[in-house]
Amino acid sequence: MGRHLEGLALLLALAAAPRSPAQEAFTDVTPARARLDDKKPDDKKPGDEKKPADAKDAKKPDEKKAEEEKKKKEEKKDEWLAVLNGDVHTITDGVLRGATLLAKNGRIQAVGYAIEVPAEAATIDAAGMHVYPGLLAVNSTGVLGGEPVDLTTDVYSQNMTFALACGWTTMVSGNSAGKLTWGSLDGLLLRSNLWMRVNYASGDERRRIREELDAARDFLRKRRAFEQARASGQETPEPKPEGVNEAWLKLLGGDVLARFDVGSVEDLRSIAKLVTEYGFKAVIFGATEGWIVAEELGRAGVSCVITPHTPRVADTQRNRANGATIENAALLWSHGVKVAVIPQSQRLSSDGLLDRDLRTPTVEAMLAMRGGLPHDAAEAALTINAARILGVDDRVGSLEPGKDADLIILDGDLLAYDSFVYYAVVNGRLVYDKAKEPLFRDLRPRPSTYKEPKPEPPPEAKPEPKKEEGAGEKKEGEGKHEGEKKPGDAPKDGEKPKDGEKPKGEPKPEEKPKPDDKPKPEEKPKPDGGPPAPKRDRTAISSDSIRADS
Amino acid sequence: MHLRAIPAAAAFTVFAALAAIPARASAARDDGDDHYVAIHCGRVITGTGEEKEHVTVLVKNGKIQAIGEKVELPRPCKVIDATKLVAMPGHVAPHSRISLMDFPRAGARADLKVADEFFPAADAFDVPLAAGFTTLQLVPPGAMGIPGRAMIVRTADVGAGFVVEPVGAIKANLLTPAQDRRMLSEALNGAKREIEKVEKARAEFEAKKKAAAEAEQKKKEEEAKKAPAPGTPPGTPPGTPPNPPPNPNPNPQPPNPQPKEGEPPKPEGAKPAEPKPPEEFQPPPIAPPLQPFVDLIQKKPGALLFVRIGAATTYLHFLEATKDFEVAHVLYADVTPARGRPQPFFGVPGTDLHWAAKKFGEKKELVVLAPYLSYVQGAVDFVNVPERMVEAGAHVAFTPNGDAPDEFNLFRYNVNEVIKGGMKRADAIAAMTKHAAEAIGMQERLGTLEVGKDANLLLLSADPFDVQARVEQVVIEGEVAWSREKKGRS
Repeated sequence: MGRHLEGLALLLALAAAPRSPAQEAFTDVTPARARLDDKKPDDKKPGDEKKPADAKDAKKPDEKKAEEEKKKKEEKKDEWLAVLNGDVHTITDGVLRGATLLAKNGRIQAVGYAIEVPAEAATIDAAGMHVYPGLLAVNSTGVLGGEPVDLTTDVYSQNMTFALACGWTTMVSGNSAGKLTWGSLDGLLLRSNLWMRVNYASGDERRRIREELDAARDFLRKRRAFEQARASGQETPEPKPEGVNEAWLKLLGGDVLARFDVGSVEDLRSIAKLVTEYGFKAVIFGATEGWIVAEELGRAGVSCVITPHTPRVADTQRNRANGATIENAALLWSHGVKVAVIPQSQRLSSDGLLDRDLRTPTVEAMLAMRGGLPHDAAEAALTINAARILGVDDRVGSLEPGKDADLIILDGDLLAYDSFVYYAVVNGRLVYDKAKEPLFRDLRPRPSTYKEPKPEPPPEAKPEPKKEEGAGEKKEGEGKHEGEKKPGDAPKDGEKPKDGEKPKGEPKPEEKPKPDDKPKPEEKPKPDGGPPAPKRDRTAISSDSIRADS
Repeated sequence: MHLRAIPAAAAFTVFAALAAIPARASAARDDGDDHYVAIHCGRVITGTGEEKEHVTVLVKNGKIQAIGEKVELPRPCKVIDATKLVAMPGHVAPHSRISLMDFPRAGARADLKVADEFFPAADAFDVPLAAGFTTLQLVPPGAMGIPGRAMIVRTADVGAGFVVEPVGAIKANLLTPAQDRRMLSEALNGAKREIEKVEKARAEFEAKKKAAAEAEQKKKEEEAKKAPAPGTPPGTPPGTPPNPPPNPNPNPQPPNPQPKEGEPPKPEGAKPAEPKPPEEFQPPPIAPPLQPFVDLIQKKPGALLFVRIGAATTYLHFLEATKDFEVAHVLYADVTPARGRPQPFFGVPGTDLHWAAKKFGEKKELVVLAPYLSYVQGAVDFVNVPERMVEAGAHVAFTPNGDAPDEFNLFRYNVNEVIKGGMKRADAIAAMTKHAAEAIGMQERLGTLEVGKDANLLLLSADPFDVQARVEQVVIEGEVAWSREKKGRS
């Protein structure tokens, strides 16, 4: 027994010991991440893992520097991935037809036209295809592991490939968001401690929660008064958070998102009231009858994660509106509620009915469209809105420079019933290629256009990539990053034709009219000053594989 | 482990055998004379990649003295006629638990040893012996944490007991990375801190010693200066300082520094007046569970980490855990029956290491695998994981998948299936011989039939991958440990 205790004591001592270089390296920031952090130093999440590492960095700057130096020496070459000629649906910035998306070390470097692609870049020719940000599943089981997600996920599992094939690139499991980084642990964990579940159901609970929130709010007010007093030079005793629930302090401080799982109008109304009164971030899962109180929810600023097609027959005995409607998403959206959509069952199966589970991510969004949700909002419900709700919209959810290169490439519109995911890219790495995986390989096959990265050309004469018309390019922090290592030469002879060189009048047979599409701001941007454009390379795609109906 | 009904009377035999072990130790070579055995083999698979016909293996005191077509035999020399047989190095199983009981243990306990739990019956290893195994690595139990250190045994007591190496590799499990990865990385980091602690103590010691030496030198100089001066009291014994002049430093460095904190207090010398011999540096003690990891990091000979990984993902966790360390290691992946297969394939063993084959190859890992084909997860496609590993540049060692008798009896047959599945015969032989010995850190003594190595041989009636091949004799360190003629142990 004594020996066991000794062992335990040792373990405890080990746990309490300072962080090792190995641990540091594990949570260390990549250069690309550092760039983002430079931009928004205060944008740290509560669950951000880097905090302890940073704290330690501050302690030993010289040591850290030496380490970094060493690391830089060992640093691998920049990894480039270019998605060429695709119709890039940025979600936040319109659609760029026949544009290029260039990713460097897992981050989107540029989206737009006339972007110089380094010769060593891996490429995917997406001519005639549609590039979307990877989809976010706000809840899931069976793909990622439990908690902690980064230590329990099988990154070689068939389910992960399956989920990628369905279009997901980010999933929530338990209380953490993780990415489907097939074959790698790097960058798997996106964010932990996403939310705090609040049960605001019964009268007793409600009274208790309100009392505790009042106490927390009082304390916060006292503390603010104290801080103001101290700032003006007065000596007052510092208020102590005695008897105040730490969790509510975090909630009121805006560090934590409250999650409610409710559907009935009474619950929704009371939550809207609570949130309006105390002013904290909240998301409601379910919200089946949200359409009835959409205005109140919108005014309260809560977000909703809904399954638009949730059958609940109205009870005619009740003297008020109740039950489910397919217009739920549209009505919530029209009142300014951030809406994300998930399928009814958050597992992945190959035997379910259509729209019942994660195998068909878009069907629920399409049903929401049937209920009146605009096409854009339906796309956003699967991407950027979900990211915003989870607080990860600085990393994922749209195709913007600086964000993670998580994208899917489909042969049609995302919200068309007959589109297939042909490629999935996570953190700038191809993680799913339909032509190579046995899942859907035999269905509507197209030869893979993915080209492996080429060996780097000699370092001399490497001009910076010109970005003449990149959409929404990031301005700050960019130059510094590029100074370290410049992208390679302009593509050599015989390289892929450059991006954005689609002649103006070229027909696009696979583009279908979208009546409910909002006019896209950058629908037809053309490289005015660019060199005369050669024809778009279509050799990689056989004509018969382009769908007849499009 | 196979169960065998042991008659009550046999218990006595067991205890007798146990008692006899120390007595019989090295009894065969007590006479002081060199003991020669010559084995005339029809064909020899040496394990080095060569296969030779009509070779004589000359064994001197258990080690191979010479191997070749024409070997001069000394006299007296025992001769084994195997001219119609095929000889190959005895099989080595890098992962076994035969004869051991499960002692519960938790956490990082690299200070525990299998050898402390090793109480074998005389016939404990008969099944692997009859199947051609001459050496087993017995590993500590459990699938969590770091359960202790393995040991290496021979499958028959040919005069010196079963134990070849009482303290072998450190076993570390990585099946559940959520706990195990942290445990492994903390053990390594803890060991690193221990090393730093010792180095720091040494540096302090050296500094003090230097300071003391300087002080001594200064004193001597001063004495030399003051010696002619009349002020020195006459009866001062040499070595004791004279009335020192007012020292600018109020706390002069004592010549014999007090034991530092953390250092064991040194025993006071019996004669303190006498000038002490130059002090030896006494390193501060290292926590016993961390000592093996200290050895690993310092690359002590024989230090080896035997890591049991689960799926390919856990290998990535291993890479993360050992990112900052260069430790000698061997990976062992058990082939567990995969779940969720369609009916005819349910329960078929398999592993998904092939997904990370490239990574294994880049690092030139040595991977211990059971000789099985696997199924691709979620599909019914076969994948030859050992072959993929070798193709990618990694080394493979074969081990039976557990201790069931059939795993030993059908070992070569299973390897045959893997060869049929595309693995090269030479690679398969290397996996059974050379790499299997490497996997237990015994490549200096075992694995191949070369001059200087242990004469552990397996004499087969035909090619090892011939389904009809039978084990005729098993030779352990020059002694016939098992033979078919005698239907058992010799």
